[in-house]
Amino acid sequence: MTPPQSVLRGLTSGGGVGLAGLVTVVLALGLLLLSSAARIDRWPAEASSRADLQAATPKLRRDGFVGSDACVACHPGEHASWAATYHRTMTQRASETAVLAPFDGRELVGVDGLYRVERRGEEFWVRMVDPEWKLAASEAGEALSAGPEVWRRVVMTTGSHHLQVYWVASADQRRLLAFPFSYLIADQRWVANESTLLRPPEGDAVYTWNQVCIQCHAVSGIPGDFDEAGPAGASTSAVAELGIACEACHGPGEAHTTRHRDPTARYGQHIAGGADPTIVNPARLPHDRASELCGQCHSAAVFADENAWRQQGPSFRPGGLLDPDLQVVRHPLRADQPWLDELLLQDPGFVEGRLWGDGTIRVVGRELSGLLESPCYQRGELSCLSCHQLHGADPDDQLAPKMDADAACTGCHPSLATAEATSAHSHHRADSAGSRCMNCHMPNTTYGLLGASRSHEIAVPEVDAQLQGARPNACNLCHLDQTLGWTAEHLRRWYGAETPTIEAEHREVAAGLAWAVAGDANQRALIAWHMGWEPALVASGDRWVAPILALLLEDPYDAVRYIAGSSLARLPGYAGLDYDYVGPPASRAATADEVRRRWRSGGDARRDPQLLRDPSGELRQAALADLLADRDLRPIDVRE
Amino acid sequence: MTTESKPDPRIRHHLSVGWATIALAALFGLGLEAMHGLKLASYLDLDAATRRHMWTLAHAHGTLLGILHLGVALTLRTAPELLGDPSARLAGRLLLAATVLMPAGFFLGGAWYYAGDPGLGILLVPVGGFALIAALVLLALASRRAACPPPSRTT
Repeated sequence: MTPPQSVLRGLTSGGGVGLAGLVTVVLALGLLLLSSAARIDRWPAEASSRADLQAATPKLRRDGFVGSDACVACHPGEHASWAATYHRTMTQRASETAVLAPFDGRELVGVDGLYRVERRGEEFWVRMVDPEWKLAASEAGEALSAGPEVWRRVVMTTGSHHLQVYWVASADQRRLLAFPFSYLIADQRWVANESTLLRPPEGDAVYTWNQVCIQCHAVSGIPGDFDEAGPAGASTSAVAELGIACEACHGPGEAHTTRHRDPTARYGQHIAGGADPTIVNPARLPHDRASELCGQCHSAAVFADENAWRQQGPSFRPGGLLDPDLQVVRHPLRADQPWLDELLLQDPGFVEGRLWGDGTIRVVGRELSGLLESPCYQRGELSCLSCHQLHGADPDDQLAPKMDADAACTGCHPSLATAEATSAHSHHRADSAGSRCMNCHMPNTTYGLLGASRSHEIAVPEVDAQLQGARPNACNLCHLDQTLGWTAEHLRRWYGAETPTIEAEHREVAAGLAWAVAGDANQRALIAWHMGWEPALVASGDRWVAPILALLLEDPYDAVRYIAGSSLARLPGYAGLDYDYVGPPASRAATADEVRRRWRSGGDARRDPQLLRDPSGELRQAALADLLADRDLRPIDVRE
Repeated sequence: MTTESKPDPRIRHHLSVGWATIALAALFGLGLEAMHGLKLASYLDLDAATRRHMWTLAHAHGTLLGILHLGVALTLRTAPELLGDPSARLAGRLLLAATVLMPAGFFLGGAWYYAGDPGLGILLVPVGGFALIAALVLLALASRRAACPPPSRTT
């Protein structure tokens, strides 16, 4: 059978255009059909993948909570400003938008073998030493080496600001266990979890999300019996919502949303104004209740009844008293808490891991513990919300406008608002860092997330007679190159402060240098950070610190090395150093040598004896070695 | 040569109200576009989502109600017997009320609002909505009567 001549003529005489058009249409239809078929094939796989993710992560148990999606219709602005915070993204199911690290098939070198991260479609997978084998071996006191390797899917993430931690489900899916590597977001690199913490270099640990993180990284988390034998197949833990969401601060929202579905109730509330009894507005709370609301997470505290919490979740609700549910741990020097003895029997490092010897908090994220000890809170009306706001502020610190400056204090202390008054009070130039309220009264003496942060115990600077183990004083955190005696004398002269009896050896060495060399790991970390802090470098000079930081590049604590490397990179003349804080020791030593070489050729003119310099400006190596031999080697494990 | 008769005043009324309403709605729409173009926070911020929604509805309802007036004018010209129908006359008045109340209600509801709820001006909208529905029903019934006049009585 031959095609009709007219058609053939049409195809040929109409030129190739007609034919090409026909082919194009057929191809397009074919592609459309193929893509539809592919989509149809993919849907069940994607649905199954999402179902697996749901099963492996904590289930939702609302019990009066409604979740943040219920808030957006009436409070779109508040919802959006919350959605922009790191609170929202503290805990997320692993997804393309949540995961920040590259899962690109690379291998990571762990203490017990090679790990691998890769992506399979929408899923993120890791090859790791079987974490349950590690837990079992650890409990049995066996060596954690040569364990079996397993592939596990990453199901959840923690953090999105400084670093991100990845969680895999246990084989029975009853709990979540940490992948041993985290992703440092600013540095864009994978590092071992242990290398992100200030703790003794003792190898590896397996972290369980259901045990600790659930308390604060989700709304109303209930751990459940994750560590007991039971049916496999789904998480034992439950949360009202993953991440720190609306109801963490405003309380359960079911009564509120139910009532306000009725427009007459809504408009009645709009017109009448005032507090809505169905929901908590932290801004309307008294300062202590508002602060305790933040303190449910931002304090060093323990549950009054841990078993009840594990089975039923927290009983604290925003607006209520924190105390019946959570007990804020204070230093034995400051408060008599009879239950503390039992706690210390179970966890001897609890207090030391969180508090300095003088009782101030030493770890970030526990700000209420500092605030509670502050006169501004005890005798005034200061609350977290005096300076911080959770809606519309910079997510970095959630500080309200102007609250990163003296205005945070002069609102209640107006007599110090003028330049003359500030200068007379601080005995520093009014425009200098020494006249900034927070530098003296909220020094950066808390450690966490590989850096230093401001203490939230608003206090008067004072010199501790002890150098080792003591919280560094505010004055010497700027005047790193001066001795404790120098500081004590100034405080006596300016403010009539009592002068402590300072040991002779500490009268002769600059406090910053002494803390950096002979201090404990926490002090070394803080001083390393301050050696890259601009106000300190302006006050005490930036040339002399390089050889001290070079010493800290070889510190036994990973975190100290990280901070020393970061501070060095900020010093003029030390950018571009080839330094890897978790690299081979020989490489770190070579970088330290290179720093010393640059320092010697850099023209440091300091001759101060307290900086251990001889008259020619050289470091007195013997004195430095003596100081190093005197280093406080007590293990420091800061409980972030 | 034929001479066109002058349109009935009611037809002229609906034509003028219709075009004027569309012109106003278009002007208001231009204002909304300008607020997008100038990125005005008081209109584009997430806090202003209610205002944006209400004013968009005011713009849309103004335009559509203006078109409805033109439709009524066309209907009256096509079926002149409706001009003498009292319910069609009432429908025209109700449509005029809806044309004022609905866009104004949406506008005022967006001008002063409470987070996710429009301001009290929104109360004008349901009143206008009922007026509109009543007008449409009355017009539909009047049109049906005009299309099917009652059979003439025979002896």
